[in-house]
Amino acid sequence: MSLYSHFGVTGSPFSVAPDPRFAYPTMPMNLALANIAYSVDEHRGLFLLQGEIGTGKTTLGRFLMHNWQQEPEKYVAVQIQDPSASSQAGFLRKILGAFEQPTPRYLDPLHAAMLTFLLRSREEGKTVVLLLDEAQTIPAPGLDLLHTLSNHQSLEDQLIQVVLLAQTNIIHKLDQRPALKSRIVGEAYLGPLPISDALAMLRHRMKVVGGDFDAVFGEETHKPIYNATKGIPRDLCVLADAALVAAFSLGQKRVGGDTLDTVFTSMRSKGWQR
Amino acid sequence: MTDQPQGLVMPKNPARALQELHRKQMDQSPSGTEPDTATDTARSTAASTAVRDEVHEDILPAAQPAVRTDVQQDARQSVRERIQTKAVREPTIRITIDVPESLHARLKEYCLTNRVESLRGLTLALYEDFLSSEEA
Repeated sequence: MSLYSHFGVTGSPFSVAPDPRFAYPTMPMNLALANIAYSVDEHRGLFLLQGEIGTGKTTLGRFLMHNWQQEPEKYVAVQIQDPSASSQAGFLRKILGAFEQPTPRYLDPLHAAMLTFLLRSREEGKTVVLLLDEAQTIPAPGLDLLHTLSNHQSLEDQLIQVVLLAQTNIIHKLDQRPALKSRIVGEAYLGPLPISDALAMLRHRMKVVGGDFDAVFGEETHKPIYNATKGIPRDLCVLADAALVAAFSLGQKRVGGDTLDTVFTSMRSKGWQR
Repeated sequence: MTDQPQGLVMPKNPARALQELHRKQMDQSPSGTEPDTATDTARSTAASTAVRDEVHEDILPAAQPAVRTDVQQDARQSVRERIQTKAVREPTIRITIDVPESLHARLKEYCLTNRVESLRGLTLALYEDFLSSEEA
């Protein structure tokens, strides 16, 4: 018997892969989604989504990409997971490559190719969206390039919509670049969840794969799970997943306090405790 | 299972969605004026949590002050000249340098003296030299 059939689910409910099916609509998540969608649709330019590690930035990014890509007649959207190119040319080449555009060798032709692409997309009535994950790792030349790209605008609006998904330490880099910082027209933040949202998210994930969270996780486990993970969505998933594995290996149908203690003891590096 | 769980939904009208969310947020707030207190509290506490221990390319040279301060001037000048002769104004993806035996020995000494342990570290140090000379 597999772990999935043991708990009556069709797949892994607590996978930490950024699967958009698992994106749970907390208020901050909904606000971030609506803000980004509004900014992109209105061609406002540069948007910054900040969040702590493991709070769902990438999942939200995947969700947005999934939706934009459903409407290819309206959006040309790409997501770059690793924006850490060390030169402007390298970064621009990476961006153009993601949009499946020509990537000449030098900076001037690269800028020309970008502008041509943006103008053509505009003529076709398409919104160009560039979503940059791990934006706090963008080196100085990349930030300078973003400033340059934000100059590509018509009389009415911006030609490229850039969404930065970043950890909160990006602010130190932006503080050193007031010109770029001033181009940011919208912001949102994802943080740790309150306990009600944390439990709702875990229930939602179990439901997505056909399971019942409350049938598996006893009520006595709810607060310890929340307290140990401090409401960080990724940690909640990792702990819940480890608890399922532990219960399965112990032949238990339900996760109880003793199961959690087993997990807390075995996963020492997390520093989890009740 | 018959009902699909209600997950995140892309708003058809983002402007209206924003209005509704803000209204809902105000309604949920005990005073009717404060925004999501739980989130704000979480945010303020989270600001002190550790960030991912990542090495950022653009701060690497700064994190290796020894590389920037204790450099043997001769070796540095040689490296700068070699880079400048091969690279054009715009940094290229690949810089091919024919390194003579004497320079190879000096580079090796440079790396040992300044504790540059990786090709990446060396490349970044050279890259910064190159940019500094460009700016000058």
